[in-house]
Amino acid sequence: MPTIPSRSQEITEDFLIVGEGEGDSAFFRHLLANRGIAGFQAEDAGGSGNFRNHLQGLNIRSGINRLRALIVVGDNEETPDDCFKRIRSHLKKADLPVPNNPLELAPRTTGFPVAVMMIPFDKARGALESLLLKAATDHLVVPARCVGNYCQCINTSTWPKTASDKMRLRCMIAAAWPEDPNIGLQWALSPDRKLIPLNHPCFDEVAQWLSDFPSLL
Amino acid sequence: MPRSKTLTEAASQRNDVVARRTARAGDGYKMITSFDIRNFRCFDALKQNGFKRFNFIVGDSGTGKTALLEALFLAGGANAEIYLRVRRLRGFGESGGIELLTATKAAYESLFRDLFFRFDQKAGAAIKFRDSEGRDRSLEIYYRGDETYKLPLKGPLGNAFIVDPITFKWETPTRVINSQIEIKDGKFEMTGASDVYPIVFVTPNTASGKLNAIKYSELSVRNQQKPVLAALQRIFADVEDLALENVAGELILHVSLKHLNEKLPLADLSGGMNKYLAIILSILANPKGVLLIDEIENGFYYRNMPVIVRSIIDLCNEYEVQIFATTHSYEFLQVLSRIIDDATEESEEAAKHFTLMRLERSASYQPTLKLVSGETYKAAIDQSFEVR
Repeated sequence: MPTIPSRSQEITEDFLIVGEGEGDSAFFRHLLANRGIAGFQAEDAGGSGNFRNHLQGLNIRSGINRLRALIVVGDNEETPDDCFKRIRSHLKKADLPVPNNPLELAPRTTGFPVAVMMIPFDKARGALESLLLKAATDHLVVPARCVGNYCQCINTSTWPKTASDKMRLRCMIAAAWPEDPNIGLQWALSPDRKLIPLNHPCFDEVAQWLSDFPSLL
Repeated sequence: MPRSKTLTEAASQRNDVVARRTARAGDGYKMITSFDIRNFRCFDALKQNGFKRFNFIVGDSGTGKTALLEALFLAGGANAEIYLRVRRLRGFGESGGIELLTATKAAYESLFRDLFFRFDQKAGAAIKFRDSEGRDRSLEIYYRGDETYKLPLKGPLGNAFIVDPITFKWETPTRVINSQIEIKDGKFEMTGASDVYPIVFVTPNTASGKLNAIKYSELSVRNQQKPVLAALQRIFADVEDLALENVAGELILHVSLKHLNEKLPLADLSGGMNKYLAIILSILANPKGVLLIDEIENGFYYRNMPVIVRSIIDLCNEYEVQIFATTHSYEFLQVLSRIIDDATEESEEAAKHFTLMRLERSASYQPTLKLVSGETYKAAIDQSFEVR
């Protein structure tokens, strides 16, 4: 039995980003640092199945009074509309404001407003890995070419896009990081490892939206 | 340490309590449902409703957790003497700090200045609460301004000062009573008396063996002491009996243990037992009342915490006692979360008897209060959120 809170600590910033898994929270932390965007705190819900509990528990969390807005981040996967609906449902059950569309702010009279960002961005199919894949492909040229051939060999054209993108990124990271081919995405994203450059233009839309976010309030 | 009861035995006892509670379903359960506090201690204005049977308060030090309990305790009082008791609980000495008083207006008012928000004694303080029967009870604390008298010439300066005696005005559905703290013949006198609301305040300072012995004796005289032994046996299965014994002219609670030929002073069994007993005795002596507990976890060994908390919750259900308790302990909050889990398994309705309140300071250093349901509280603990 843990005797101290083990994962999610006090809210210390104006804006809180809650993603699905550790890869999401690491991505946003590193992206915000890379682009010099301040005022955000990023964390994960411990899996998409935990969204509801995580969002509901936020209401009593230490430091919640200072929160100016919440941004929930989810993967579009193969059915962007359905995935967005699921997040709306989690928000509703947690008694939080429910936006009508991604990237819109749902205001509330008391407490904090909420926005939802779907990844890769807008209504494109895929997940965080789909977004990262673009940057990794440009950066890891040789592994990308080899993985491309490998994909042809095993015929991933029939795979769902989300699964295919996840496999390709995993293979490229594994090829470029032989010390630990199974390195977690949250560690692979660290700038020290130079595997995925977060200054890549494919992240500009996400970074720009976050940078502009305070003006939505 | 004697072994704790087995899980099966504990579960069986819980089921008995649940059965009794179910049998009472539908009975009116009197409890405080809302309060409104103004200009009291660190609170400029604090209003909240939605209280349930079990209300737990968390928050950083200095956010007003104890002050909130004090506000309810004072509002439930009957005579201005209750304020001196609150000062004692705050650690201002046996007489509530009166011994420090010198015969000056400033000295008299210094006794009360921390009652008021930012020490503004002119505005007066007001505390009001409503119970589940729709009855309001309020307390105003203020200097009347139309009644002054001279302090006696007993101060070190030998001067006489005009003071305006502080007034505690209670208003209940049936009467209004003004109680004043005056100084006569060098002593404090409290005038007036209202009807009291059944509120008991347990703090780390009140959990003494001496007080427990007195409370136990009061129950024993009425032959109502048996649940005390049962509550103790939930934690220490080896305890066979509980009795008051004379030690050097003072009555002290002793336990009979299966493995000992002689009785053992209760406090020697475990340091936390005085606190536990203080809570149990307060519940038994105050059925259908309100129990305020400051730092509920204080003194409890973590391994005993689940049984202790369950025992307190079960007794409160049985005796229809409402709880407002403060805590800093994550272990306690985890235990409570599991209890809410169990309650939810018994019936969805049962989980609705819990709330968690969080006091925080806003940007302007004003305490703000956020109340959430037991379900939300459980979700926060499940997510390992920092909620203390």
